[in-house]
Amino acid sequence: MSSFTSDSENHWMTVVMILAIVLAAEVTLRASMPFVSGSLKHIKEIPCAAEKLSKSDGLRILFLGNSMINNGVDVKIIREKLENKSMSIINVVKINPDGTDLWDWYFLYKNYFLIQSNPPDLIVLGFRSDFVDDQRQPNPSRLAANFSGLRDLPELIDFGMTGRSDIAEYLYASSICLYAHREAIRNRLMDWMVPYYRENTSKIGTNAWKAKSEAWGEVQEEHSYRRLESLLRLVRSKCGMVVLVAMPTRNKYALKKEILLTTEKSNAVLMDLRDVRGLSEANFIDAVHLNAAGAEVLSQELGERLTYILFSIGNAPRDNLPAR
Amino acid sequence: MKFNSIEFWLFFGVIILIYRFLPKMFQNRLLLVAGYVFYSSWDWRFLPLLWISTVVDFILARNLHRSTEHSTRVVVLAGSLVVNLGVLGLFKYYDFFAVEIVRITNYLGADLAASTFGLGLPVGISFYTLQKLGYLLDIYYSRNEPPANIFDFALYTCFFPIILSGPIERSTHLMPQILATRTIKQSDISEALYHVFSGLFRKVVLADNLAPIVNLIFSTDPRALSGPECLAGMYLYTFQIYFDFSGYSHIAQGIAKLMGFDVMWNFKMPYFASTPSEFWNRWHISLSSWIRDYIYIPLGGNRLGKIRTLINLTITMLLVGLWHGAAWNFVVWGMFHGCLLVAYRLIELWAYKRNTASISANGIGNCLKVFLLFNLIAVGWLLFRSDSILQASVMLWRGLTDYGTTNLFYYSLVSGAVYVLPMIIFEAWIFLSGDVLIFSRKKWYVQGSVYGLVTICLMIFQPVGSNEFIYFRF
Repeated sequence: MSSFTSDSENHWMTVVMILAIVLAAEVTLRASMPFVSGSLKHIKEIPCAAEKLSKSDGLRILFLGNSMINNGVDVKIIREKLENKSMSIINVVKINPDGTDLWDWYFLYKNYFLIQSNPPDLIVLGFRSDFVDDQRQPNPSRLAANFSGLRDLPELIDFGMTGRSDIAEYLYASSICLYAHREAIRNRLMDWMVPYYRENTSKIGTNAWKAKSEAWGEVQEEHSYRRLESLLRLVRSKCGMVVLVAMPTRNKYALKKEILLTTEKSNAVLMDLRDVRGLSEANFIDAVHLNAAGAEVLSQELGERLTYILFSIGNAPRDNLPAR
Repeated sequence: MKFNSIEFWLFFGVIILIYRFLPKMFQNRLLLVAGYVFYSSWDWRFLPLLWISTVVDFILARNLHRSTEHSTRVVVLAGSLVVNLGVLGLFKYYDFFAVEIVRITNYLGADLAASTFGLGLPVGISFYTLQKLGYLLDIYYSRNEPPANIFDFALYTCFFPIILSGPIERSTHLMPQILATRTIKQSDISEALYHVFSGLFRKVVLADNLAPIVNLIFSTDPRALSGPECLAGMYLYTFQIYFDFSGYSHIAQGIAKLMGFDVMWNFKMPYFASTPSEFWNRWHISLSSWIRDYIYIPLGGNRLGKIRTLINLTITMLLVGLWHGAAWNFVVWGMFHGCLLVAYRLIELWAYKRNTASISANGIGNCLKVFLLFNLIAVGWLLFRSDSILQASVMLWRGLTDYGTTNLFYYSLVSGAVYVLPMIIFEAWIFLSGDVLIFSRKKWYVQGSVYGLVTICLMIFQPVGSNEFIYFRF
């Protein structure tokens, strides 16, 4: 009987034990972060990449986005394309953490690239319409863990992260890595244990997105782009230029007129690559991601159009923009 | 403020800190304010409804208690039933019945348009209405006396651990605890820790991670699903709804315990039941016992002969189905359980007559009975979860006739096993021990280690964008 009867006065010891186990797990995770996922490793490399780009000579181009950019854009092809058109030195960095959207891209640019002595001259931002509108909900954990700090909280609230639970999650994720990086850890664990995990998780994600956008579409007719406008303003304040690239997807999406007005108002360029000649359904591995052949087609087209844009601008975005 | 959210635990942390230092009367006032804050965090627009119904029921209860004449008492009780069921009916059932009646009359040749209110459902209304009705009926049957103070009654109706999804407490159990001075024993804390960790694990780690798989399967056209996928959806939902609701109930018990309240058990390993009546003694116990005591027994229970017993069982289960929501699938689900109860009752009578009841009483026989009932219950959940009867029928048909396995099936099967198996083994251990609190009596380092691992799981497996408890919709 005694072995089944714990000393109930020891509940404080129980609490201490819980805290010790959680602390041990937290320390272990912090020490082994890059091994948890490729995306986390990529995020850890951002400060270094930003610094390297800043120190380079010539035209500095930042390709920013998520896995759509990762799968769809081959920077080697684009660099070659630009260099072949006699643009002497081209420095390209591609930053594409998985699952990110404008919430993350804004703070990523602000906290990693804007602080450099030489921020990028050109930012090529790959998006699907819902990634950049104000109605998209933030992922507080991802923001807190990777792209922003406590000092950014007022700006986040101003941008619309006003929910009590979002703010609480943000504060919690700011201090506990185990919680903040839960998606990456869970995916790693489940991918190891469960067959066809990635394939079906992607299906589940698409299904949830479809259900959400259907429900949202019923109540939400208006679309605004205040956050996008802020990013464009931020880039312009450092004499940079933004090219927004509407990325191709298997099922074509609509581009809202408000996004056209916002880019026009902010002197940015909107490049519509939703429908690229040479891309077919066979070039997609799922609803939104291109395969290698699709990436080549898209990169050729993107490189071509970027060359045209850079040459057609009468005044270069920066002094170091190569002459025509 | 969901129980599985950080903001709730911050809220609860503040409340419990203040609570510990207050005398009893102020503790009750604090809990009342906390109840209203908690409730309004869901939808403040329905707070006045809660206040008005609380005042009305308090007055009715006092009149009921004071009246000595039988006819007056009947009139007051009838008034209270009309008020409470009227409000519930207006918010929960009016639109459904208005639309369905117009649909039927139009089918018969009339040309009517349904006028609906579209009021929205006040959160927790099904739970607090039954709790208040139980209170009034207890006063009527002289099982309890109304409290002198309206604030104590208001706390009974708006006690925040249970207001949203129960357990539906009895006035004879909760009211004395509100009126008495509460003490918190050391063992209460061990028990509370067990409930809270168990509840959060069930909800956050198990139910919320099964939900996306279930949603994917149920949102797909059933004709496009393979048989094993349909069955995977059905069984995973069977576990999802159990872990979701039992998780909520455990957390409610745990936080109430930390404040010195003993809230009734709502779930006791229901999937180990071997008969439908045993299942309902283990599943949503507070509802099934409420229905038994205030509907089934007053209808005559099993005292009026075999046929009447079977009719009473069917009526009771139909009401249980309707209580869950105004939709045909809930009605059919209730009927299905009514039929199960009737069928098992008839088989029992037949076995008793033939003196074969002892055959299934051995271990293997009992395991087979548990297995059979579990599958029948799962079919019930298929009816409950489906958007239409047609969807449920097609899924069941495909599940029985198509055997083609797919990637999604293997994914669902292994994911389900990863999430569900450890908890099933844990529950089997508790079931066999016969002590529902056996784990809370383990040594501190055993509890600490397990709770530590549970905490890590709670962090890692918390889905992005937390899910509501399923029973909040009812």
